[in-house]
Amino acid sequence: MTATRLGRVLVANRGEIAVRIVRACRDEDIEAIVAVSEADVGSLAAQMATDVVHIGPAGAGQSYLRVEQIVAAAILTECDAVHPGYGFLSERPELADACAAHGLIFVGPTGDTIRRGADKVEARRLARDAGVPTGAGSDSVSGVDAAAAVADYVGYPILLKAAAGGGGRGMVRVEGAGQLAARFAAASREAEAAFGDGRMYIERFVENARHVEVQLLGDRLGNIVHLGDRDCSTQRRFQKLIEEAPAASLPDDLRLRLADAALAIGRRLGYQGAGTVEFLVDLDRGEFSFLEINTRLQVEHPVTEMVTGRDIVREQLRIASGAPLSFGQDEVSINGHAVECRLNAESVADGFVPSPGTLTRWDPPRGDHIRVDSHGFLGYQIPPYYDSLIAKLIVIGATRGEAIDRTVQALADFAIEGIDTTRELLAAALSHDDFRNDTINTRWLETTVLPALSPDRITQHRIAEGVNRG
Amino acid sequence: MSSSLEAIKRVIAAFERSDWTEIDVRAGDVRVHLAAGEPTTPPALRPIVTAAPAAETGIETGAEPGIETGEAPATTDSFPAGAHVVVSPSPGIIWRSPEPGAPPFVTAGDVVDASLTVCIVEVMKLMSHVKAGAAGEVVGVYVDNGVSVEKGAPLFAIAPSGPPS
Repeated sequence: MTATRLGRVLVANRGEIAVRIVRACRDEDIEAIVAVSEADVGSLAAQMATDVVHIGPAGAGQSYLRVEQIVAAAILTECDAVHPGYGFLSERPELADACAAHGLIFVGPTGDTIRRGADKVEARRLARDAGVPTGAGSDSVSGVDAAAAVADYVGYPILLKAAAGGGGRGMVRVEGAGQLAARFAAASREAEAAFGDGRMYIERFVENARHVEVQLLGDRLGNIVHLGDRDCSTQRRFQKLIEEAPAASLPDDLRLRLADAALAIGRRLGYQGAGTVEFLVDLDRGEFSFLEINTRLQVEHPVTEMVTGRDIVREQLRIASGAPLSFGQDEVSINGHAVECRLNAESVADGFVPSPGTLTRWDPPRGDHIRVDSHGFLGYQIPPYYDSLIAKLIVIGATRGEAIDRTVQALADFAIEGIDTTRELLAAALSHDDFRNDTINTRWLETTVLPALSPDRITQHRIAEGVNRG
Repeated sequence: MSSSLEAIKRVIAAFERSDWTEIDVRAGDVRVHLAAGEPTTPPALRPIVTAAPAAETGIETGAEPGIETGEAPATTDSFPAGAHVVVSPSPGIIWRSPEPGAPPFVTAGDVVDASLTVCIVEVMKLMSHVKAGAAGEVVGVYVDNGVSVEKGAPLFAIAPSGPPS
């Protein structure tokens, strides 16, 4: 295809990622129109944008999640392209399809690629076909009897996962055969309600696992490169809190094999745009297995940008215009070590209950090695309608130790008042010997850090029970 | 931003060739609201292209972003005497039923246990079940499905069925 200069892009997202995309558009000399719900009219992204377009009420289901509103907004404001960010419609093939049908460029892969990535059972098959190990488990299981047979074969504990889930949603851990029938029925019902698809599949639960992922970029001319790996093992309830690049614990041979596996999957998909292939690395067995492919920009993309010096969002915009990647694989090198931590507006002491409110103090840390991606500002009223991420603090050092030290200091310098945040929990995790020694796994935060932090409160039964409403 | 007439025509054309049922977008002083035919509107397509002055909508006049309370909270005087008032534990969106399309957890006249879930409050994607807190009859319903409330907003009134145990 021939390259077409993008003149104007619709940013179909909010929060820090909308700010990030507006910034990339400015760097590429592209006008950015930000789609805003009624709750985001005064947002930082709206203030920075060339202009805004109103797409509906505060609830995401009436605004950010409506394909037709996004497409109509892009046409009305005469945009050439739509950037979906992450979350919301970013992995919904319907938006990519609708953009194509209405002559808009979707900043991301094709609808077909998104469809294949979104169906986690199909994605496992794709990985197997590409010669990538998928770990002990199953394709979709037809019912509780089939699930029991697979679970007996791979051995408990297992993870029951929704075929239409992903990103840590629609996952249930099952400890033993006695729990299976009830958990399978509940999980399948919840998946049906949340995703409109009750299909479940099974994976062996790896006790001592690291979550490692590889960043891909593919252009529309068939070139594909990887930008190294990230370790995202510090998680709570399958949600990432701290991410690093590179994944320091990987032996070099395993690092190469992961990159090759990610590229093999990307090539098989003819991947266009920024994407991430996630793996589970079993430290005890020295093995890795494919988890899922995320056909979009990741929250944690900045750590990769920090160590490679490459701007992934600008590259997304270039790819969307039909231009070739601005660099080749041999021009990608990893320099230093970067750490990102997610500051969420949540009260850790109250069992991570969300804490919306007004920022009465907002003094992010500053320095040569510090990057803060955030939509926060003094006086900003954080609305209760969306997720709780308020800032990503990204810090680089020459070594992992230096990056960690600088991150702890930057967290201490980050002055926020008016809301509760996860700041102190992040500092406690980063300061822990296990983290510094890099001997953690995906359960470490929940089994080691949280109980030590506030033994009384964490075990306390909460009035709030999580229900997944998608 | 002022959208060109051409752009407005393209939105209408896109609507006509799609299976969309309704769109409502606004850029600057141009609002395009299109809805596919409903029983009360005979034409299949009802294009409404209106200029919406900022002062009329309040959206562009520097109105505070953020929490929009769906309804004015009922005043204390309006609660039935002796009733237990269930209030929202946090700001958020009220869901009256367990999932879209399902019947509501409770409606006026229902007799409930203290431990019964009467609604869900969603805040920053966390769904919290709100319990009745008292056994008795639901005598007041102060919220509609999907509305936003502040922390402490009254949701329901329950007339206790007997002395507290």
